[in-house]
Amino acid sequence: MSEKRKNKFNIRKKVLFILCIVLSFSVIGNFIIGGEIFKKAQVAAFDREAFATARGLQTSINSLIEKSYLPYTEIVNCEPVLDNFVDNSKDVLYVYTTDSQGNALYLSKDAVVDGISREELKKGVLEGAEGRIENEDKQMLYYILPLEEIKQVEGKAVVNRVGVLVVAYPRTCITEPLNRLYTYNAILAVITYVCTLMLAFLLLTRWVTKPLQTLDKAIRNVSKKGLMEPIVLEVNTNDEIGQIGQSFNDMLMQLDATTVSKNYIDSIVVNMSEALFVIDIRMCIERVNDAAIELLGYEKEEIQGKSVNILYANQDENPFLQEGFTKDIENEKVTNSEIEFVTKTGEKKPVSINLSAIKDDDGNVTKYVCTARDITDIKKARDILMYQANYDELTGLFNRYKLEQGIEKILENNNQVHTFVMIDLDKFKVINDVCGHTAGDNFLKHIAYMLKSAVGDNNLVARLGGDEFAIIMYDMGAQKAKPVLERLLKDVKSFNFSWDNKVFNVGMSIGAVEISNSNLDRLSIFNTADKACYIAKQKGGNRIHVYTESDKEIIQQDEESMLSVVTSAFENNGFFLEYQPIVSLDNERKVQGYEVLVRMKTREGEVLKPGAFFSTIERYNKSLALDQWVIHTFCESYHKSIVKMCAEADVQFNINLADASINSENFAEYVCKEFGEYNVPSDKVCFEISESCVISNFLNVKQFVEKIKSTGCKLAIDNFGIGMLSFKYLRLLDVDTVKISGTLINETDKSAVDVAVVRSIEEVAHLLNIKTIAGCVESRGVWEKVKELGIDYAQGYEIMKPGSIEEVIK
Amino acid sequence: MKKVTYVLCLLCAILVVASCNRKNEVDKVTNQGTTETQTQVTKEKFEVLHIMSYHEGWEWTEAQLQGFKDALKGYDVEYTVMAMDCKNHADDEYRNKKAAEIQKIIDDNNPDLVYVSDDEALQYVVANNVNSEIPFVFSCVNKDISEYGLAGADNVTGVYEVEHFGASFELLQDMVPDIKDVIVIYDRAEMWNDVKARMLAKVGDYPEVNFIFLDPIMTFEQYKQTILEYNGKVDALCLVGVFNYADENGNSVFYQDVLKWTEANSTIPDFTFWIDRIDNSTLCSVAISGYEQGSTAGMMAKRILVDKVSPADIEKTHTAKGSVAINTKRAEKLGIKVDADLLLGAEVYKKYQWEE
Repeated sequence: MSEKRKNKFNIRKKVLFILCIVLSFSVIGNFIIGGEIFKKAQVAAFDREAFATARGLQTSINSLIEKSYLPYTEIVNCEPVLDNFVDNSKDVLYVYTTDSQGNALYLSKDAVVDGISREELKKGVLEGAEGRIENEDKQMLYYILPLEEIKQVEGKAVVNRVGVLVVAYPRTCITEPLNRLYTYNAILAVITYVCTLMLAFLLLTRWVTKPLQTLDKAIRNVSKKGLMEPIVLEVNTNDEIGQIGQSFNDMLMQLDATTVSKNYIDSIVVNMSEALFVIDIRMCIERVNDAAIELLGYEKEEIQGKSVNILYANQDENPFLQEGFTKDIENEKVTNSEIEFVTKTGEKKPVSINLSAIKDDDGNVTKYVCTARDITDIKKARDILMYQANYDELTGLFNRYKLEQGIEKILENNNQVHTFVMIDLDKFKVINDVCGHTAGDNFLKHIAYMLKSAVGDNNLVARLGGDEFAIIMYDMGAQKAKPVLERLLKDVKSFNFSWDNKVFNVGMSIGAVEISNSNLDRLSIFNTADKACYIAKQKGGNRIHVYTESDKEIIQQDEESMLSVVTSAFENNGFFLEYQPIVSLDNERKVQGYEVLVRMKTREGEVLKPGAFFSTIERYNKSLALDQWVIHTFCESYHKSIVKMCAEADVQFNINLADASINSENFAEYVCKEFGEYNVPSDKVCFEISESCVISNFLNVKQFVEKIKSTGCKLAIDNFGIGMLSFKYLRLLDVDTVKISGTLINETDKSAVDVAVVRSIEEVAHLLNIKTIAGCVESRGVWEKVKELGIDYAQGYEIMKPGSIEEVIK
Repeated sequence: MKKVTYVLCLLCAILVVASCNRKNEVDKVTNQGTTETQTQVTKEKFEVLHIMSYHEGWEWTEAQLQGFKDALKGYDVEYTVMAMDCKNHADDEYRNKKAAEIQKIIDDNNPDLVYVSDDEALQYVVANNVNSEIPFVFSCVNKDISEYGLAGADNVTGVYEVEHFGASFELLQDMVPDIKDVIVIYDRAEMWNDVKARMLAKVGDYPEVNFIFLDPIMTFEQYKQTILEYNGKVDALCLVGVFNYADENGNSVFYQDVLKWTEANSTIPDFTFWIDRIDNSTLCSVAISGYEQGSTAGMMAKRILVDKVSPADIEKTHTAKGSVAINTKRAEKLGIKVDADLLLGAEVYKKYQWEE
């Protein structure tokens, strides 16, 4: 049925149509049945009147018969009586009487006697009953009544029927009134019909059509304009339509309260930064947003309707082609993944995609939604970070982190004998001082090349920083490695570095230690090699010293010397605290907090930084004691003076923690006890944990962090960016701040790579709502750079050297 | 919408009119041959004293009373009937004595109205109540009431008994064509003088007919001779006075005997003006109707009692409508065939009273 046909038969027309049918049946039925009833009534009534009239004449004739002394057949001048009767009787055409044999006897004028047979008339005489005979041919009605003569026989009245009286009427006497009645009935029926239809039309219009039209208008309004300008219906009745109207109003209210408009959704979809693909169950792209167009370079018309496979650069990565994909996505087992899309021009774009399914009410998947985020920059930054994490940017050699990993691997599978070598350049400082850092860097690149060439690709060469290098010579004992190192030493010694017409000849102090089954841990290996190198340098440099057991005594003597100093410091209060401001990277340089730094003063009055004594502290398990001393001393100072000095400043204090403290089960409780004892607000303290600590002791770190964060303390990851701690750890540990490693920060005014790394750290940190601190900001250029990169805070010599709390606050 | 409403209203109006017409039409159909009468009833009660000049049970007097009663039908009327029986008592002593008795009743009961029939009651009773408080209404009085001393009576009105001479003669003409000679017979009573005078005044309407007014006949014998004398010589006989024929002893012969003899011996088609004569073998008459007389008097009484109209304001009158009466046995004997038309409109007597 067409739409047009649907509209043609609206409810009003349907009801009127039904009413027409009912009325038609009713009117026709009434006309037929009523007509029949009226006809019977008319005939009966006319019969009554006709018989009454005829009886009058019958009575007269009977009276004549009785009055006259002559026989009935000899009544004198009876015809005038009949004529008079005809003249004075309404509708009577003529009358006549018969004798007892049915023969016409007395006739009025114009009487016609052949309308009724003689037999019928004779029968009327014999039966003596009144009757009506119709002659349809002649259109006549005959009323027949008996004529009687009463005679007295032996004192008794004897009735003798002498004939019949026939009174003739035209049939029109009955049909004419009936026809008039039918006419009135027909007019009445038509008027009733029309009135009923019009009344029904009016009432249907008022009660049904108009309310429905209003409802339709309101619904159309919603369908066109949504809920922007809804028409609220005025409901005045409680009938079905009124209830629908009320339900519509309720629905509007409910929709208004719960529905987000399509425009709103469209606006979100269009403006979302992530590319969005709606994919139908045939795996064809049904719809894309502007971000998707921008990402892939297609026009909408070019991509919509195409297979989803067009998106993927490598179909092996295409999740839609994976076995069990449909089931997995229905069960929400498809997770985010990083793959490569291919653009219209064939360029590959790394993206992070998220797939989800849209299901109908029965749980059947009707569409897939794929959101994709362009991670090109992130991937680059991550690659850079990965590089940074393993390589020294200046020389292209591995860095310390990679070196440590190499040692760890060796220690894990220590079946072979290897040699670990540490190299310190002699007099390298001269090049820097004379020709500047550029010359120094250039020289270092030469040295790196020479190192790599000397030991080959099978061995691991790393730059530890400055002019320090290290080598892991695999599967070589010290004896086997020594010739290689000697050749290296010779090559370097013979290398004349020329810069600005100046020639420099730099030597190397090489310390080597053999790594075998009986060996040490990573730190010991480092220290051992470092001492060997130290011995080499002590012996005049430009030589190789392979560590031997006899060297151990020398080292021990040194360490014992430092241990003595450290022990004395613990016993004689040789430690003290300094504070270095952390400021916001804006023009105001507002102090955000202070890093609490420990210093040690020797008996000779020399002030040592942690680098000088911390290895001893760690080796002799004094880290926990030192951290407890720091906590206690800080809390005491805070209680005594800091709280007053910083009363009006909203600052926090960053305290470094050693691995041993974090691994200690009771350290967190100790911290809480101290804070409580000295009324130190927890939210004023931020603990800094090194990135390497998090990597190597994650579970312990997590437990500790949960404890101290529950008290309100904050958490910062120190020296971030060196060890390439995965970003996911930041989220897992609920980190508040990351302090970007000074080795990265220091180079941001020179190295684009460092800048990219720092930028990526900053972007990720900000996405995770983590504040960033640039450590070791030691020049104006670095300050400006980190400020440009959006780092939140900075600390370093450029801002202020560490000092007593009074000095830094002042 | 308004137009549709107006059209609807118009159609409704047409519907109502059509319904009414239809109802009328249906009523016409279903109520054919039926009529309806209504009777008005008043609460007021009246006492009426009826004084008959003659005796009770006589058709003539009873017909008058019935006519009177029918005219007052629907009203609460209490009737007291007193009969003077003057037809059987011709002497003044009796009549005066009876009148005194009646007067006492009038005085004692003080009726609302007194209705008197025929001349004697007027002569002996009403004449004594001229201008009294009680209204008197009379019927079937032959003489002018002034002859009874009631000329100036304001409380008396009524209906004179005037015979239908012309109608009666024409009825006979319908039955017996070509009547040329008619004899008119009276007895000795004076009251026939007025009748004779009224007849003489109308005979001019029939110039082709010779009306022979015989002198009053005194005796029955004289009557018989007269009838026999005119048998076959005249075409019709008008019997006016037949009550006061003396027999050989000087006593009045009962009028039925006079008429019985006439039926047996006269071949002359006869007619008269009084219905009781037809029952006693006179051929035909357009008779003075005692009922009509009484009915007209009753209408007057109603105006007096109900409408409170003074009798003086009600003109004295006479009845114009008579009753056609034919004695078919007499007609058969005389060999007269009566037209069906006449028979239908007539009160037919098929026997003689003495035969019943």
